[in-house]
Amino acid sequence: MAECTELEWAVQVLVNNFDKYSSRCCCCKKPRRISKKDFRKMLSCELNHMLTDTGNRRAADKLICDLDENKDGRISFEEYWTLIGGIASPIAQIIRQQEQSVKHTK
Amino acid sequence: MGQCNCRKKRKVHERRCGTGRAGTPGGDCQELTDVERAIETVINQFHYAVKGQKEYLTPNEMQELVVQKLPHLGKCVGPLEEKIECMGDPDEAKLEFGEYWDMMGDAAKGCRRK
Repeated sequence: MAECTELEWAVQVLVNNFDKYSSRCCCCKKPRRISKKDFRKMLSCELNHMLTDTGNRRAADKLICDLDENKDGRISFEEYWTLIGGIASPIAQIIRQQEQSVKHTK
Repeated sequence: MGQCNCRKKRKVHERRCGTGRAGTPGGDCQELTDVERAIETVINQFHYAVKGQKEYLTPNEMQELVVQKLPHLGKCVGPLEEKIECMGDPDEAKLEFGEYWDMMGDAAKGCRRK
């Protein structure tokens, strides 16, 4: 992908990150998935700054909790994307609010 | 446009780093992982595309974003006209962050197929 934009770079990084932590079940040709253990490892290795905020950490815990209910135990790419989105969404709101308040105080 | 984005981005970084570890000014910034920077980028690109005080993208803003920011991955998102139609009345249609994220997910799936 020659000369990709910032946004495309970002999407690619998130895709590569999934591939880094996911593995293929050895006996079948099912798509790659991340185990819960590796997902936790990914959260602490790759998102340790974003999740320092307790609110965010709680959100992440809840996400994993929700996953626990799903006895499947392995995270597909779609689930991974949704989960990262669940982490990004509150952060997006915080940034937005900060931006608004900066505008208002100017 | 590009310059403006840079400045805005730095502001966000400074803000985030300001709440980082005490005693290591700016250090936290460099420590951000690629994944974190990527998430921040996706969030920021949404905010840059949103014009005015609202919290969502209009169909036009969405189209602009896909054309300008996803020149290679745009086609993976699927036909835009169809998406816009699905959003309903073009004057009232709203694309919120969650839907935008899902759209990036489609682009990401396109990435993986490559």
